Amino acid sequence: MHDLYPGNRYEGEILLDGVNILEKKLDLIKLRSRVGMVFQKPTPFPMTIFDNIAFGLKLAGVRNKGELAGKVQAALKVSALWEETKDRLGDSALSLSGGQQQRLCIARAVAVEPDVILMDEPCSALDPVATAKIEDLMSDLKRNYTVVIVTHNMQQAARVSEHTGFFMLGEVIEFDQTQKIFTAPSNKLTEDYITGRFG
Amino acid sequence: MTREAYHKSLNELQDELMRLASMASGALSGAMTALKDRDLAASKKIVMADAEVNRKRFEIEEKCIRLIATQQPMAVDLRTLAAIINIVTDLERIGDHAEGIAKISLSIGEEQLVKPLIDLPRMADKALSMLQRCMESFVARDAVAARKICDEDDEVDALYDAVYNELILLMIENPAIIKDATYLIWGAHNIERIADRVTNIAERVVYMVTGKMEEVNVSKY
Repeated sequence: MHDLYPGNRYEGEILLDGVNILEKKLDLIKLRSRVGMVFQKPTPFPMTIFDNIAFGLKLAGVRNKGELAGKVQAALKVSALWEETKDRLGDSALSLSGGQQQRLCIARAVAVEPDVILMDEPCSALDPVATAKIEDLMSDLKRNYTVVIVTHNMQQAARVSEHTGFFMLGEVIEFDQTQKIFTAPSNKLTEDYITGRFG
Repeated sequence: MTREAYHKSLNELQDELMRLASMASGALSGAMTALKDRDLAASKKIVMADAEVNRKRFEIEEKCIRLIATQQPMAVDLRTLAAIINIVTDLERIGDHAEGIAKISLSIGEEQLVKPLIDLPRMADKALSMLQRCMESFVARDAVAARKICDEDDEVDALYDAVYNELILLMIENPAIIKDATYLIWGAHNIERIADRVTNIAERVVYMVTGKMEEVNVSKY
């Protein structure tokens, strides 16, 4: 989207299973179904908790009510939200707390079984307890999904990730194992940034 | 995001580390001089002063832990703090070894030394020089210099062997001196251990600079 703004452009490659997703002729609908997204602020739809998750499933062609209920339940369980919502699935999603809403958004992304879940600062609007729950959830999710998280919180990157990429002004400066990046990075720019010597 | 207060704290910590190193090396040189000059009052002072070295070590360690908890240091800063926590332990032990030499001097008491001290002061001078340059390599973040210092440990070990063999021979010749000669062997052993501690410190400097944990000197002894 950002290249629709005047003066903005992108170049380079983002490979998903070897295919550059910046290719012009790529089927974006198909790509979108493989990549779930969670944003900075929770974005629940103004509908019930159940429907929030069922929405994407219905779009994907799931019509059978039993199957739908089963998949909603599974997604809520994976997102560690089932116990808190199982008795109020018909309530508005907007009645949930911020942290619960964010987990609901993760459940919504997980429900359609993507390959990759992109999380853009998923905890920046959350308190430490809700943040800890999301981070625990990320640890669980990464067993079955590739989770890519954008965060400005370096401690969070160090806690939750296995690999870290440091970007500056649109360039990838360094990409390596997380423990290497935060204990002995190879690039001076990375070192200076994470030790607070510029920024 | 230049984090001035945090970096000031890191610099202060380095200054305090240097103070502790100077306390430890002062204790060693003082203990050696007191042993050589048979100055029991000075030996006693060295023993008493060790508590101050121990206190300083805990003070620095606590400051490191506080910085880790409050500032979440990363990369070279994290390695520096990890290095300092280890180095203060070695410096504190160097202080203990110096105290050990002072106690030996007190144990020998009013007796004459069984031989003039030649190799022992040489060992101490060597160990002191290694310590001094090791701490300089810390300040200069110079892993090459730190590695070289580790190689010198073998010289101290060789001197220790010479002292040991000489004293054993003296004891065989004159069993009446066994007690006091054994004290001197202990003294030599203390210095030999101090040099080992310096190589530990040098390894921490290498880690701090390069991020690699490695045993730098595998002694031939």
